[in-house]
Amino acid sequence: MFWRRRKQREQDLERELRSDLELETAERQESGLSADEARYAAQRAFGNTTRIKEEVRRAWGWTVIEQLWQDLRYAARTLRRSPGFAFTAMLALALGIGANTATFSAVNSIILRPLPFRDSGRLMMLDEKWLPRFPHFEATPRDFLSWREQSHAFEGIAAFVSVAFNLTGGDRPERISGARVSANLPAVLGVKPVLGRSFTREEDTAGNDRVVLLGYSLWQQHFAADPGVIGRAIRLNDIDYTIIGVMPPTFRFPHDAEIWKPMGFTPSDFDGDHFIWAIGRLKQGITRNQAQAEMDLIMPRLQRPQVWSANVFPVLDYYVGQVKTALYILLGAAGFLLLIACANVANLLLARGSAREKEISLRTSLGAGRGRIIQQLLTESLLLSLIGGALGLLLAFGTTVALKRFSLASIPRLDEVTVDHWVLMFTLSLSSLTGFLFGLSPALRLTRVDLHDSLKAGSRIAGAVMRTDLGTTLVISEVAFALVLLTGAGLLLKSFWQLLEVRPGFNPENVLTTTINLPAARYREPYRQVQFVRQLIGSLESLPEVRQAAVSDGLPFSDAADVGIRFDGRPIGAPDSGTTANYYRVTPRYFRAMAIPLIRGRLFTARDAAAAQPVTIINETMAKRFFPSEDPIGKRLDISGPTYLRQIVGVVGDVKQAGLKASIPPQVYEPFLQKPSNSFTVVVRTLGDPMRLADEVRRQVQTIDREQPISNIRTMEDVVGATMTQDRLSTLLLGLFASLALVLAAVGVYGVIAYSVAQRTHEIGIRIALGAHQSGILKLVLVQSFRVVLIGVGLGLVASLLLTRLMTALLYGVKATDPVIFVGVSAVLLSVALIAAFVPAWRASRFDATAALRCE
Amino acid sequence: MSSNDMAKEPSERIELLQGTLDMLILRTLLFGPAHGHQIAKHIQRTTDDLLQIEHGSLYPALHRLERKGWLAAKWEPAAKDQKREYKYYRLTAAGKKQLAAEESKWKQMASAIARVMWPAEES
Repeated sequence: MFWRRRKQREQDLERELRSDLELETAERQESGLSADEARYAAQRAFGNTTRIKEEVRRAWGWTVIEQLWQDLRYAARTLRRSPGFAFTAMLALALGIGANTATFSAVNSIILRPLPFRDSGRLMMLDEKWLPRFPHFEATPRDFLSWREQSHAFEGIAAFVSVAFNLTGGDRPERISGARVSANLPAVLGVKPVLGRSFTREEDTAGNDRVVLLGYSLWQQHFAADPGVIGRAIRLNDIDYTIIGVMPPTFRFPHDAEIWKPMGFTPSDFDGDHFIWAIGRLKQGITRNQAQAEMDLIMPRLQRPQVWSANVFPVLDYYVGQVKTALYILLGAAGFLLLIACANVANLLLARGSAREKEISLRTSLGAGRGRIIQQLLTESLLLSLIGGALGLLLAFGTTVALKRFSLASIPRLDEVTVDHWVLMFTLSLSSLTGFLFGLSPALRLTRVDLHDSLKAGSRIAGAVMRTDLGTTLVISEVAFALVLLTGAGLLLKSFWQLLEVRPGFNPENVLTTTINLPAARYREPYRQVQFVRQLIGSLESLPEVRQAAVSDGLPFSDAADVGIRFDGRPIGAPDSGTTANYYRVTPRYFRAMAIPLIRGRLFTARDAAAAQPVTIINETMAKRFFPSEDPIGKRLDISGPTYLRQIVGVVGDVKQAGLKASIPPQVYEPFLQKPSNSFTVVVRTLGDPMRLADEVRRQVQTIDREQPISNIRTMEDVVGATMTQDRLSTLLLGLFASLALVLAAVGVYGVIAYSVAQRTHEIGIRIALGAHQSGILKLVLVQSFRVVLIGVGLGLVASLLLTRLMTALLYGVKATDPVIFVGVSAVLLSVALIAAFVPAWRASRFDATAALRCE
Repeated sequence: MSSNDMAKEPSERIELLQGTLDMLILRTLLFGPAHGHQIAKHIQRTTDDLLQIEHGSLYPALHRLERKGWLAAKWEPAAKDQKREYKYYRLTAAGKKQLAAEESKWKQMASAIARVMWPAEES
């Protein structure tokens, strides 16, 4: 808009001057001059019209926007004229800003964006702990009901437990994630069905609980989004349920549940089993700590002696937990990377400043104020950083798409990661800030140069010295930042290395696993469960590609029950009378299928069946801890649940249960045939690629029971790998950041040394003329560089010492102050920096003395 | 830039004091609307060519005064030559007020200077 006005004003001025000039000419012609003479005289009387226009324009005044536009166009021209500089600077900025944007979009979506529940900040998870062994553990229904009765801190407390349902009646039986939830769960979360109604109180009692709420996508896929679905029957685990409502599309709680039924506690739920989670909405004005304090008062009233206490923690922690630390560390690392990029670009600007010094002096002498020139220089920096930011945004966008495609399932909320308006705002402000950050100090330095000095040829020294000082400071900080990143990456890498070295206790290669849940309606009796399993194993083992097939009701790196163990013949209360242990019910060839070694005694056989003597196998850790000086074989123990003694017949190797980082607790095995279950994992060791057998396993299961779905078909390697996704990702990303930092720091060192060598050409020329050796010059420059880099490394080491301890939670088998890593990365950085410095140093040592002296 | 065919020698010309040009323009326009050339010529003629108005100062001054709202401008045909159009400036109400203010300020200054310069005549 102002452009049109501006243009019109220009035309107007042009016309005004022309008409007055014509008049002047006419008047002179009247006084007797010839036409040509008159025009000439009038022109001279008028003077320089361009100058007049310039002055008039100044009288109009430039609006801020006009000035900015002018500066921007000038900046764009300047950058176009030096494409090499522009490209390098934009690349560095794009990498820095891109890394930040990508990390921030993850932080934003995973941590900052609220969960899709009303006022989710007030939602607190409630669970139990028995320290030090179980910091977080499911609650018992009895405790949950007591909390609901006695607590005043919450508007409401709801309970839930994930369950899976076999959905039958369609063309193919299917397994669907769902949950048993207390009737008030939707109300506590603040979610209403989009169709139908929620649960009533009455439906939350055993016997009245044959109703379900459908998830939105399940409704769309299975019922073609038919609004008439309300009141219809759905067959889950061979029991008919009535559909009473459909939940909104965003509602998937907990995790990936798609169907919900009322909790409807049965008497057996009150056996003391810890199996439910609770979630409460804090009353307005009540804090988490107040709620926790109240729980600490309630829990001692519920048990005597008190063993369990309660945790109150934000629901977001339940979702994202440990990822938070990793993400914040990555964000910090990305920030460092950006600072390095800034220092680098500032250095480039400084070096370029020597070329622009004349231009700036000229403009100053023509009357441009220092503020105006700084504004112009800053506009250039801003233009650079904004273009860099735009490129960075593209980079970040590509990264998030790529990350999502890799479907790293073990990172919570990863599918929600998007580049939204918060990310855009973040990038925009970050880019502008960056522009100021790297633009300001060079702009201040460059405009401080004394006018006359730099206009005069051959006196570039004063400004050059100042710039070299600033450049040196910048390089020192670059090196320091790079060292911090390298240390962090080094620690993570070593930790990851250690992790890969950890033996899981079994051989995950060529093992296929899949989960089967036999519906309780048709497989209530243990003998039916055993029959199914026997048939399945028989048919699987008859396949030529199968070496062993087995089932277990727990799976390492996935989940296993915890049980209490009591050793026979030891007084209750003695420290070695009992323990808790991982618990697995397995068929005989499980150990061979998983390649868990037998250490003493024997493995289970087909004869360890229902009617035979109850037997058990323990792991090495349990054997060593509880039978340090005697043979455990033949001893007897009791496993919590129905009380009876089992005889220990074997000791097997330890197995990592909760991931490679976890310590190994005592573990105990029971024959599946003696203690069957209707939900278990099938474990098949194959000859070749296990996934090739997936369809065959499904076929075998459905030959036995056409209605029986299987789910979660994975190789054991994937099961193990999934627990390492986070470690792999953070190691990869931090490694990437650190490598970029190293490159940028090397470029920075190279730039500053090359610049300082160029400035000292004269001096070096004199030295050579006076007989200095090539090696002497080389040494001179290298020593100077070494000093600069060494200061940077020193500062970086101090910063690393302070900062790496923040990442202790991410490290395994490495201390945050691991001296090997600290020394190692310092050495790497020093050598890379010296190589970068060697190039200009070498060039300096080859100077031709006469040429160098003439150079000024 | 300086005017070339000077009626007076450079030494006889008086440099305009800062800000006085604005006042002179406003005063000239009190007689009625005029375009730039007329304004310059009028001042020059009235002062017997003592004050040379440079175009380089005149046009910026006119535009500055217009921007401040003391002058209004309009393209109109000339009185004697109806085919030509000139940009005529005229005094606005605010311009008149500004002229009065500047005039009184100038008077004060002139008398103050006079008191310093010729103290005897003063007493």
